Amino acid sequence: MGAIKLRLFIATLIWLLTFSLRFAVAEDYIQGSTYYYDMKPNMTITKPTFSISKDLSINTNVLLRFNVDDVKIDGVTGATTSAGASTTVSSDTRKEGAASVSHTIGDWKVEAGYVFSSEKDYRSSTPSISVSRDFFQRNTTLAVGYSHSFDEDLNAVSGEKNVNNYSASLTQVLSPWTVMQVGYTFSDTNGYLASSYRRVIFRNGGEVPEYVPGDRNRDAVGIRIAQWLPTNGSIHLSYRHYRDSWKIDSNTYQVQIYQHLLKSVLVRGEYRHYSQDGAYFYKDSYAGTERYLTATTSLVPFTANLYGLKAVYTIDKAKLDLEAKYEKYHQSTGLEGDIYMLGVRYMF
Amino acid sequence: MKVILILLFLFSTGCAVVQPHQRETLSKPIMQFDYDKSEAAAKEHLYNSVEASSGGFGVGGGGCGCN
Amino acid sequence: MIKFKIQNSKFKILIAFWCTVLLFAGQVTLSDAFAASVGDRAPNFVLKDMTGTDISLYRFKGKVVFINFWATWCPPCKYELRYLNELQNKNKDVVVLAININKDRSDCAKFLGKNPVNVIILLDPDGNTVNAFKGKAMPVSYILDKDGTIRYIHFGFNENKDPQLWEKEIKELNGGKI
Repeated sequence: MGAIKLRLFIATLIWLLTFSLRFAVAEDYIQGSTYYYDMKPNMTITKPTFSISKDLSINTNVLLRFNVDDVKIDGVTGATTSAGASTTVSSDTRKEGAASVSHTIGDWKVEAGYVFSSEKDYRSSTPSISVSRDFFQRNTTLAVGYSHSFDEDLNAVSGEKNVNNYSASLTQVLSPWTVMQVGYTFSDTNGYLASSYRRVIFRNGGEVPEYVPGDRNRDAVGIRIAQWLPTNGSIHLSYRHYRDSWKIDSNTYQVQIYQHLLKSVLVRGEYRHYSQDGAYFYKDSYAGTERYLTATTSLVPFTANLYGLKAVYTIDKAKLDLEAKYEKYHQSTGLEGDIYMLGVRYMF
Repeated sequence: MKVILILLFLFSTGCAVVQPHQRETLSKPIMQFDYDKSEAAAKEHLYNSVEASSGGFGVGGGGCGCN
Repeated sequence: MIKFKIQNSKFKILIAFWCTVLLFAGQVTLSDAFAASVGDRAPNFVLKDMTGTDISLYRFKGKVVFINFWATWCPPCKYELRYLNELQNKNKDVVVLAININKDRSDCAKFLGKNPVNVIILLDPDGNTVNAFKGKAMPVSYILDKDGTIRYIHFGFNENKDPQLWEKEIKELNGGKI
């Protein structure tokens, strides 16, 4: 099934590349990037990505994206708590493809999308749809969306997972130089939510696969604002509050500053701060009498910071943007990552 | 109640319409949320892998607002 | 007494909020009231073309004039230009004025260098002329009769309808002649 999807994806890509509008307005692009994640203590990920955006007509756009995550793990990973954990996976390759089509009719816009991903032992498939409408001479946009994820952990006996995702957002132009967005998302998940590889080690010895509740409801509200700066730059501020039925509560603050140094050189500085509580069933160590046990490191309480710098160099005559990025991610759990990216975007 | 009133007030200022011909600045890439969708997807995947949270934002709005 | 005071202050907040809404809503109404409408005489303007020559609207009195406001940051505007080009080619006695509102003239020159057209391109970088018309969309087009009165307004661009509508309206204003 994965091979069929890949062939369909490549065929669509070739068709898009050979299709052209009579009068080029240079809104379309092809983009290729490679990410390298050096995640300490012992994981590296190489991630080539490819995407293409093409206007089929003045009102219709197609976006295709494909990426591969080549994951290499050296030795034992998992929880760094005394509960311990282990994994038998030393490398894996995850392929992901996404396609979306959007169509505008007057003040309405409809977008349908599909994302699929597959690994050695995990499959995910997510169709989605969103509808948006503009008001007040397009100063206000209201959007609602829905998607459903069909996931399966092939390593587990009954590894299906289903997720319903709902979203709503309101975007408001506040001035010729300021735009703001408020968003809300809700998802309900049920099925197999554990990891079939993770083992919880009891304090008195012995280990069992992790066992977590079979459902999880999550909601998040976010607000973000983009403000033009008279230095020929902009600042983006965002805040998100999240909570779920596993009693995880988190706050995310982010600031990005864009600045043109020259007409052809753009830099972006970024800082993100994240903090979360742990899941209610999370413990540093388990006796073995608990109903739910987890070795998933993302369910523990922690804070994290990300610092990033990105530069884009535009070669106007060649219609090319060359991009480079470095980010440093650090969690209070000890997880750290250096993230590198090189990319090129060609407008046509 | 206060939060609702503040949000409603903020959005009521949108009734002071920005004319379509005044949207040049808003159409610039550095004024878009998630202009680079590929980068946004890569970041979201990283955060979803190492953090417990997800979601919060929707789609669309801003930009040139052209017809 | 205290209950009434608390309710009174909440009431004041509500009143203040709705006054603000009405004030801004009033601004919307006011700006609409001054928009150039069908039946109005088109406001005169003097703008430079791509060679730097001053061009006045009133110089074209006695001809049907098609005024279009566009910008390189507006994708449907750029797409529409091709159709304006065809319109000008088919209708030699009609004057098509494509008024570019980019703040930076070089953005317009760069685009036209790759996508040449034979309509008259005028430059309105300060936005004074587009402001005088107060069009409620981008792109926006005004078709004027031979006396300079606005007879038709097109907000936005619909590839399937507008080119045919323009032909029909121009033919009508030209007394049935193309």
